[in-house]
Amino acid sequence: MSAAVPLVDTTIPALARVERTGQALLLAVLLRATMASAGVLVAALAMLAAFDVALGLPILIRLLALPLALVAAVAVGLRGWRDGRGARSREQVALWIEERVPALRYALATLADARLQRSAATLELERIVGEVSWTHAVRRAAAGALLAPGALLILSAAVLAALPGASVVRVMRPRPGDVLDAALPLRGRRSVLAPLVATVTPPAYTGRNAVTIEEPVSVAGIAGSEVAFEGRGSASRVRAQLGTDTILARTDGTRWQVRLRMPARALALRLADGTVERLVTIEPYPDSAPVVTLRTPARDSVFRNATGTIPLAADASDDLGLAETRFEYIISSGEMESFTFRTGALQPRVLHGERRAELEASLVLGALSLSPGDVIHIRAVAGDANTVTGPGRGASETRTIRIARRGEYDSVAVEALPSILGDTAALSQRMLIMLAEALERRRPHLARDTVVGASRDIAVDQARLRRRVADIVFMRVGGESSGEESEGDNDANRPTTPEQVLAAAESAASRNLGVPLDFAADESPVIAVNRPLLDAYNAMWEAGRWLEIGEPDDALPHMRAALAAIQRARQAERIYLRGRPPTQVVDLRDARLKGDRALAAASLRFPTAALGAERARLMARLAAAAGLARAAPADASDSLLLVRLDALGLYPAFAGAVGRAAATLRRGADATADILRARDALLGAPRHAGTLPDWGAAP
Amino acid sequence: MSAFVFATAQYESGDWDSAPLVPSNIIDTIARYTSIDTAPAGAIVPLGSPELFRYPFVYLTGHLPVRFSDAERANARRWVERGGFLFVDDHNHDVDGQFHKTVTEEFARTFGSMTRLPASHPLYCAFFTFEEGPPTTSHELNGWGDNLVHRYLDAVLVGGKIGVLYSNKDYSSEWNYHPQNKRFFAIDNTKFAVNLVVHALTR
Amino acid sequence: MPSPGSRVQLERGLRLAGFALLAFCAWAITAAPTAPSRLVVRSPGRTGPGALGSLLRGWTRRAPAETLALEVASVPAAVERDWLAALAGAGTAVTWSGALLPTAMEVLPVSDPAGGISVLAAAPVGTRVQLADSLGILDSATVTRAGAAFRVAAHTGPLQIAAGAQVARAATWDSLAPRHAVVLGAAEWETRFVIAALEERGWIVDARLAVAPGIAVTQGRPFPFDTARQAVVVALDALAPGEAQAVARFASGGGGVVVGAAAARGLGRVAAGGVGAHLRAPEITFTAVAPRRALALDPILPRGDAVVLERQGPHVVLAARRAGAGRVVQTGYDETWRWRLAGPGDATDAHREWWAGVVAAAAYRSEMAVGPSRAAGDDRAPLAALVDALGPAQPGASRAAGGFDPRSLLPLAGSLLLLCLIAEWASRRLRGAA
Repeated sequence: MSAAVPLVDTTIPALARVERTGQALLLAVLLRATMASAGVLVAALAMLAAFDVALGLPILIRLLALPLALVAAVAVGLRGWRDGRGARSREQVALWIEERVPALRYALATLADARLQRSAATLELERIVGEVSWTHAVRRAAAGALLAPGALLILSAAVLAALPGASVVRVMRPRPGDVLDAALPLRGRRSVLAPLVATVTPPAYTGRNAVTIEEPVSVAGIAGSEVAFEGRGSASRVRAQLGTDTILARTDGTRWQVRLRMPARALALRLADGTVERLVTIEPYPDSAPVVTLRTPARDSVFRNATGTIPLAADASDDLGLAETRFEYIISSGEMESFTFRTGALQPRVLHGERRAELEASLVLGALSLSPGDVIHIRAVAGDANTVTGPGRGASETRTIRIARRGEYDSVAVEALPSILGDTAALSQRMLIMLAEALERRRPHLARDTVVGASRDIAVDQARLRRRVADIVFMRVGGESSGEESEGDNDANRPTTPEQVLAAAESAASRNLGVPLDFAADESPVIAVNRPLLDAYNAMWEAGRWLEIGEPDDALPHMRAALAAIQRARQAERIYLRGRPPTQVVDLRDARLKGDRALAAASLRFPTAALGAERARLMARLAAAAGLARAAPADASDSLLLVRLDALGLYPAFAGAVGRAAATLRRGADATADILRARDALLGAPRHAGTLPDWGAAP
Repeated sequence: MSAFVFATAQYESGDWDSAPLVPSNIIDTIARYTSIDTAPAGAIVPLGSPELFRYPFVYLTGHLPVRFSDAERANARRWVERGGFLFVDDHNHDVDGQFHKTVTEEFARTFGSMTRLPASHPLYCAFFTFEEGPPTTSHELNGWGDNLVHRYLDAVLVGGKIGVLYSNKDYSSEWNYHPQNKRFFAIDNTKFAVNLVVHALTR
Repeated sequence: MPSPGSRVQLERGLRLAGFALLAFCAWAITAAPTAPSRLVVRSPGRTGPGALGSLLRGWTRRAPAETLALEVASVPAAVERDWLAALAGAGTAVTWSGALLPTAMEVLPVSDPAGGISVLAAAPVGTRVQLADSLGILDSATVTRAGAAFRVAAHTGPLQIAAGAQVARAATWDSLAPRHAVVLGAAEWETRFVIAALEERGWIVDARLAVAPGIAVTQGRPFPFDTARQAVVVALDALAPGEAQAVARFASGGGGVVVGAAAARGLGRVAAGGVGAHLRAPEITFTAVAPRRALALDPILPRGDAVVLERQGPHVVLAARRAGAGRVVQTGYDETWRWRLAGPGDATDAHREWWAGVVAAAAYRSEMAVGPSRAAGDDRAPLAALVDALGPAQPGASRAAGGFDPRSLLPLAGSLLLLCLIAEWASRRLRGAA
């Protein structure tokens, strides 16, 4: 007896035939699934196209239908594939053949069983199988399986091919404006004004795409945009009037077209075809001018000498795009009645439609040949790329830099570049506060020595910052350093307490200021000018003391007070270039009616126009249009559009509500709610009281 | 009853106080010719501050470039829309000067375009009659500044009424003297100021 | 189970009953109803508008009832009331009952060139009243005391007040005949800004602004005062004695007068009150909630017959009184122009609105203009009109039965007939007969 060998060898002719049959069946399954999938898709398209031909499907339905049809097709395909997955199993294929070829008498199924072992009996089985052919059965089954999906596919394709190509395109590639391609409205339509499509093409410089609107009631766009209205039929039937101007309609193939440029103000476009008329409001919106913000210098300043460099920085932005930026300056020289002026530009840049830009430049004072008393006015300007109604220009606020006159100290605007002070000092102080807070949080887990060491490190930085503030205070009043840092820590003369710093500052001020500044009665000039910084200085001093002894929690309130004072200094009111002139009091009793009034005469006053007249007129027109709404909704819609047009600039909320009412009426719906909202927007809600008034009629 | 206060605008750029004697001189003139209740001293009001709304009549002058800050621009626009009367005089009396160039640019940006007032405007007959429009100043006659005699004043009209009155005639130089010195003039050259104030108070 | 014999008898009985019912239906359809001696109609308001009218039409064509008792949920329409009154006049005893909300409305034009009307609604306390015009609902309010008042800037078509099922309607008119306002004052900011406010509102202002002795800026024709031409005089500065007398005469002749503190001192008994010591503003800055608190005051010491319209704390700052046929409103606010110039938000609008209200409270209205229009559909006090037409309600009057109309039994007879036929047929089928 030979050893038992599993009968899985495909070299056995019968099994090889089963294997081949399985492959053929697999191919048939794949083909059927594909054809079913394609058939469903094409059938769906054909059905949609047919509906579109019959009903003119709206774009929303078409946009949704195509993905849904694809999903359905894929689902059908997957289902078909899943149903035919038995073709991958030899046993299943053998059984499938046995079902269709009874002559096999289960010999093939037995042979295909993987558990069967080769024996004498198997030879008999092979013989039986070898005598039977199942090719015909397989062919017939495959043809049957492919018949239905194939028929569906062919039939759908035939229907699709028979439908108008435009409708097929509308279904396969829906896009705004393709209402003009729809087949149905051609039959029985009353006017060439329906359907109507408007395309707004913004000016080239904006870089924006065209927008298409179907059945427009109002068309909005940037002033200068090109607006094209398009409909089907001959242009000879179309009359178009924009405001008072007549526009010629042109024929383009089977369509008419009216082209116009977006006007500077809102106008109504009247399209007429015989007695049928359509009104569309053309509403331009302007291209905004660039917005420019000067970052540096942050304030006006007075310089003792015309030396040094002032960094300039600004930001510019535009709604559409910038074309150019630069800094501009005007230098005024002279005094009394004689002034001369010089102008110039710094860092001019040409841009290419960027929405935002940063401007940076340096103003070298030494190169400007400045004299004492000269004033430099600096601002940043930017222009946009508007080639239609512009260019729009924007300018930042102007900063003035004055070169002090010798012996003239009537100015209290003494900060050279305050933003530098503010930024660095505030930032440093904030960092020190964060360090102290972190130390305080870690404190319960640290040894006392460690806390004291870390606290003293912060104290060193705090002292450094304090000296910097002191320097700024001194530089403001005397142009010299306080000496607190520059003279070294070991200098015996350096001020060591706030009182000493104040005294030193006062001394410096007395030495340098020739005339008194504008200050409160109980304050010295130095204190008045530098109050926030001196507050910061004092707070830093206190904070330093606590940090030195390792008590950051006690130091923190002072550190925060210092930060607040620095911020106050940054935000301090802008100081005017000149002091106040002395007040002149006139002796009115002495002067009263002493003049010669012989030539004086009574005069006439002329009345002012009432403000509410336009509102009342609009309300009357709204009421009239509302009266038409039931009987003639299209006419009411047109009337409301004209009301909207006149209200756009004056009462935008009312215009908006009226526009909605017009659109609602155009759709054939009830616009009462919109009309009521429009009335409330125009007149305001009525007033009421839950009781009768004591006097008169008003509540 | 509220007394009329002659307020001078203090703006952040330029020399806003270039004509410090004008207020007292005009106050003296108002008292001299009218019974209008007038404050004996003028006021100085920052153009960008809420204080501006306490003074419906404000005088603004200077030689140097005028660039309003955003706050000044917004404040002044709102003030004029609410009925404020801003009298602006170019102390340079020079249409090529920077005051004129910059202030007209600022006005266009802040209030919109200016209108030329005809000589028949009620301003010129509000109290005294100036048949030929605004009276000529000695600075114009002397050929200083732009060597022009400006025949007209310009104005920004709000609802048909003057909101901003702009002069190139340099009344600031013309009227910038102590009121006591009026006695040295054969003809009082500040009479037009009465028209300005009466017009502002009654328009 | 009944025996076949009894079943046959039952079937015969049913057949007979069917014939009898058929005969009744035929008679009922052809027979004229007997004239009722008494009709009871319940809740005609719930059967829809005009339902009572159609019933009345039917009844009137026939012999009228001897008595007609209405039980109503809302007041019948004016035409129905008139019809009922006519029936009552023709001899029918018409009575009504029902718990109806006493609702009434009045529409008054506001003496304001900007237009607008004031709608007064009377209804019991706690009632929610709704104001509507032909476009839709305008506003609603809950009555807290005696009635409610609405101020409407504009409306379309007739107005109606609805309180529950009760509706009062009022037709309105276009506008009042325009008259002038006279403003007298010195050349100062208050005068200038009050004139501006009134002119912006649409008043045609005649003005006199004193500038210097014998010199004034004038507009229009302020003098002489005449109610045929002018509706109101606004005096803001002290008046000359002759002017004060003219103002007093104008008021007694029906004209409206608005006076500030300085003018009130010269008007004596015509003013709404004396003038107290000048007070500085209680608040420094204007607020949106109470902007006039930041104004200086010349408090009013109101006369006994004056009506206080506004107070600031303990001080009366706006008061009114009738002076002859006219009305005088006195304001105690000083320098309201500061509010217009420096107030928050839309202070200019608020100042204008306030001054328009003050002037409207005084301004002259001709009787012809305010006379209520009695156009079709005008039904301002429906319950009062019902009582006027039919007398007061008579609870219980509707309990008695009315006349007999055989047609009212037709549905019942038809149903019974059908039932009899079905029963007879079923019985036959069940016992196997054809």
